[in-house]
Amino acid sequence: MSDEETTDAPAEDAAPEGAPTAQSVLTYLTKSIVENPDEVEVGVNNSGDRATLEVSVASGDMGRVIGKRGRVANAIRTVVRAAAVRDGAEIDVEFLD
Amino acid sequence: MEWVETTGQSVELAKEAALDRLGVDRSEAEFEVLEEAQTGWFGRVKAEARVRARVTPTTPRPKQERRDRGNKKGGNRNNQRNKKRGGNNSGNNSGDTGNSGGGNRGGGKAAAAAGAAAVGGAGVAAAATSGTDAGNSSPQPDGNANSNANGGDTASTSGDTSATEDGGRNRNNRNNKQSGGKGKNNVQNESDMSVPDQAEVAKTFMEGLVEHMGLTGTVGIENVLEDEATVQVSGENVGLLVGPGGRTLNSLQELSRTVIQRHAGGSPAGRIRIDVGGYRARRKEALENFVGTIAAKVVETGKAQALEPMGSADRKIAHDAANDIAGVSTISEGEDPRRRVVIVPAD
Repeated sequence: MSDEETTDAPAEDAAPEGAPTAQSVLTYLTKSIVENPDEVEVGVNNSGDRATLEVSVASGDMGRVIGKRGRVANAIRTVVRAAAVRDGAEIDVEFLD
Repeated sequence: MEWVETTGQSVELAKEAALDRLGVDRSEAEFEVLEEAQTGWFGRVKAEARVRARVTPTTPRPKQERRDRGNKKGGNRNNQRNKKRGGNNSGNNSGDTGNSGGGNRGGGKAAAAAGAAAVGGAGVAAAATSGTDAGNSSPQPDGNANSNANGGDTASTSGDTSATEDGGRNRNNRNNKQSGGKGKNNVQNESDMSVPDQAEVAKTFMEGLVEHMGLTGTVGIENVLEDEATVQVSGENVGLLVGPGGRTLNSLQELSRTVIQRHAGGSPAGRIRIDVGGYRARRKEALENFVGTIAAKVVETGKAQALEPMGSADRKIAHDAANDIAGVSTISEGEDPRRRVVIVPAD
């Protein structure tokens, strides 16, 4: 069992003690949903109270990731927060336009 | 459904509760006030107001505000009610449930009524919610969960964005977008991907998730029928994938559906249920027990009681459970996603 599944998370500025599982899961989920997985990027913003994982996708994929009334985005958040439990971290997820 | 009877701390709140139960707009319902609320000292309620209400038999449906569907979080209450007569825009409105848990819908009054709505008692309403989170496919519980959990700006931002993206359009439209734009607006973009193939897609998706979560688990496909199959995740620590009240599981259900649609290039027929560690079966049992409790109360009081809105799978569980109990029968009322089972005294 590994907590260090970061191979899929390209997050350039990930803090080492960040939330690697959450990041990995977030990247995986997003790539599973979009048409252009190569354009999925997940970064970490540590400026707030707690880390925010910031996701950007190809512009044409934004609606897909958010879903009607934010349903898909909220589902992603819920699952990523569960993943963050594995990291002992609390995180937010934001989808960047 | 004929008359429903509700109580509330005031006549207004009781009426709101009745409207919730009927699932219609105020303009479509008629009321009889059976009892005014009586307040004692310090404004404490000594006796709740009781009203009964029904859908006015012949009133034509008011057409206002239909175009606002899906655009405003606050505008949903009317939509939900209008739907009773307004046809089935279930795609658009399915998102509405996201708000109901958070007290977001309508206005303050609506939120207040929500507490008393279901069966004239917050206790029962709460129990209904927890009892019925169970087998719901994506819509409700995950909506409930998220609207609470996400609270802040992020949630509302994404909600707004989504309204911009999808506002006023229907479900078919999104499917079209997902399949790379083929197909025309308002044409149901169906896919003929078979149930076993869909299950494979969901299985692969869940396997990847388990791996990225760093969990040890296996994913299997169970109960493959003509129009449904279950993708079952088992292993240690997989409870993390269920989450409180099944929220995480319901989110995974939603995401699996999205992934299947992307692979299928549309909405294929059939239902792929995601389950983790047999959770749904256990919740089914809990729901059955809960229905038993409510049914006993209905027998005792002779008053119909509506359960919380729930998905069709859960409604079936509730119908089946209640109809096995002497002295009660069931009906359904409202339109998805607010459709609910009402347990009524048998006569």
